[in-house]
Amino acid sequence: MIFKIALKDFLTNLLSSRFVIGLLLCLVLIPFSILISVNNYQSRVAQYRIDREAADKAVKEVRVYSKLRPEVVFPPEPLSVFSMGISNQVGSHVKIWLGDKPMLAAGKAEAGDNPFLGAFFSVDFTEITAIVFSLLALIFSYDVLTREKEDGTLRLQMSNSLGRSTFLAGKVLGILLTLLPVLIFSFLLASIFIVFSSHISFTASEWGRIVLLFAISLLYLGVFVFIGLLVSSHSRTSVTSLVLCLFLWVGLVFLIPNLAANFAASFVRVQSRDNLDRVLADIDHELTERTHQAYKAAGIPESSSCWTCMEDSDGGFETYGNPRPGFEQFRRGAEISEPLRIEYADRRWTMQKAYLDSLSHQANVSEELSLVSPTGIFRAIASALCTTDLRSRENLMDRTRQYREAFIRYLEGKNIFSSFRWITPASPDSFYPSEDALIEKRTGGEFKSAHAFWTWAGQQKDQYAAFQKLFKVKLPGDGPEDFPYLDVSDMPRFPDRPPGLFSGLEGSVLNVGLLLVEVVLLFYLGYVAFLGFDVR
Amino acid sequence: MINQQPILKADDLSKRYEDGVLAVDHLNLNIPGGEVYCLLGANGAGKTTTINLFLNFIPPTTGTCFINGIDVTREPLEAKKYVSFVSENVMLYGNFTARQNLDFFAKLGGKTKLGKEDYYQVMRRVSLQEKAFEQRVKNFSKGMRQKLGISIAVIKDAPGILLDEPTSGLDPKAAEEFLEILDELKKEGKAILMSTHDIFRAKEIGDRVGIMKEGRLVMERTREELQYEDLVKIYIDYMKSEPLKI
Repeated sequence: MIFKIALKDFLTNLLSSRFVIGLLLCLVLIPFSILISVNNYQSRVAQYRIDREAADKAVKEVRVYSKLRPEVVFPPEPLSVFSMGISNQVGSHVKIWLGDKPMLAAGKAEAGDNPFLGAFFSVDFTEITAIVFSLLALIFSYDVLTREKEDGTLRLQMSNSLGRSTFLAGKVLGILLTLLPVLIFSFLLASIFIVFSSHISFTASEWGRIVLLFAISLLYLGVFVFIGLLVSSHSRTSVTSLVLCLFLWVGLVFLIPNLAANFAASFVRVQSRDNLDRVLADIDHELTERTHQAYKAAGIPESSSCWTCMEDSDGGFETYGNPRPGFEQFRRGAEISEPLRIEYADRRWTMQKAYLDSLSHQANVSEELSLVSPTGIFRAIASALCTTDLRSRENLMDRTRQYREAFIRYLEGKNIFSSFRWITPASPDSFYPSEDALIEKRTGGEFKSAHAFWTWAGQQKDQYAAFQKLFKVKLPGDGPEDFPYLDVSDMPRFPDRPPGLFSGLEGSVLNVGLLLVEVVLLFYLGYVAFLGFDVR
Repeated sequence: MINQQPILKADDLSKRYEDGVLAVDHLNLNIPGGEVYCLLGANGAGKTTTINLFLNFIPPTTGTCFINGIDVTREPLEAKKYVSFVSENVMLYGNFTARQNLDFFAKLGGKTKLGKEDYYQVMRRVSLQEKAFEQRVKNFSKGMRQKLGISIAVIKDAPGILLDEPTSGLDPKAAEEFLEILDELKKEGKAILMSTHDIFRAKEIGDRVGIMKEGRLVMERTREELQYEDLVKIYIDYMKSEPLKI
């Protein structure tokens, strides 16, 4: 009997204008959104390739380990074509520094030519499901009881030996039978676009996640069907029920999630970035002080002359053409400064983590508040399934920090901070024993000692011409061009780890449970309300 | 062919609504098989409430209804197996054909093994035009819908039939045809309770006629008694009389 009622409702709905409109809506919106999402993904892939190429080139073109700073470039998540989540708002690459743990990714995610040009339509597949299917579910369920009552068919049906639970189950099944093909059609349409798109391909586990997304969409649909049922069983007329349902729809789909974000932004304070930068500057200053003290204690002069030096932040230092004592001084300096730099990165991280935690806390409060609405729950689960949620991003950044540790271990494994290779590709065997020997060689024997040269140079009016004496003889190893790039084939690489079917979904179990509870609770409340529904 | 065992029975049946209105006041009815009982009364007299109580659409305040000896309040689903219902305005699924509607309601009534020809036969019996069998019901006149309504009752083949002003708004020919079908059903041994405003048709079809006023059954006459009395006058006299003291 349940199936008979369901089939009757299914056929009635199928012939209704609301079904045709719903189907047309999906037919227009789904391909449109998928097309835009695939284009967006394609643009992010293009940017990823540019960034990746630049990062690979930068790593390959270093001659000293102190300049070796790998850059992690995150590939765009293929599933983001279904749910963008936060992937468009966060950066796409992270440079690995010794003195700083990765905090936030840098760079833009898309390779657009015009940053001012924003697509006016940026609603993704999940958003369309959240908005359109909740509306469709309510449109088919708001009058599930009141319409039959108004049409007079309810009395005729209930005059038979037909239990209310049977009747209700039939009605619910009828709505689900109506909406299920539309939902399947939408997912199939999106999947066909993906399959036939040359710019994107999914792994088996990613397809598995789409199936999970479908199941969650079905649950979400169920929630709104039962909301419609509950409202219908408490309403006297279909018009009242429709108005109530529309109010609820606007509230649940738009108001609550937006209010949650606004509430979190207004009442949950994040730490000031300026304040963090000030604290970090203090730590950097302390590091500089401590490094100076350590140099002093070790008898390393604060400054020294250098034939060819290229220095950057984070201890990147490349030098050529010095006498052995010069190289030795720089080596000893690095031996002291680099472990200190790594140590202070941990201290910086304590502050950075507190800042990051405050950002995460604000986002989490927003998400948790939005869980009041089934739409909030659905969005949270969908973005987790598509690995575009905050937790997935945090996991990615955790992995990036772990990669930094692995990189440091790689350097330490080579005992590189104590090695000349940290600062120069030149072999220690090729170092000139003293500055005197070096100057004698450079000047072609004109000056026998450094003292002699500097004294003479000090007396010259044309300093430029005087220094040209030092370039009289070109020595091998005086500049970078004399050395090949480092072989870093043994350097650890950031592991690209595509998500497994269920990996990273632990946090979503509660949300799925919440959605299930809502389905069961709403059905129960609707059922209880229908038991007292006046069928006359 | 009157079977003296009551198929439709109201035993001290009362219904007071939440707003305090006493819609049915200690009503006792016994309608055996093969009898048509017509309930007359003004609007709000309690006729439709009585039928709603029989169908368990509302719970009684006191007393109970029995259908085929089964307590409606205690075993509503079992009791409703033995009763059919035709309302004042038979409303069906407009996008379905007459046969599809009949099929749906027949299955609801427990008749699951009927074929197309069975439905056609029933529709022919209630004089529905052949061409209407496979037409969508949304284009049907009220008379056609009422005929389809009675065909639903016929196909269920329940011993009791409840009719809530079924001829209201029908043209005389359609009403006459409707009553002919009722007469046939009566002859088959069905117990029929019909609420109506139509005094003339009540007299014509009813084996017994009861007049309800303010929830009470204030008068009851058999067909034989009415041969010697003017039902119209009795009805008007009761309607004009002072409100009942409750």
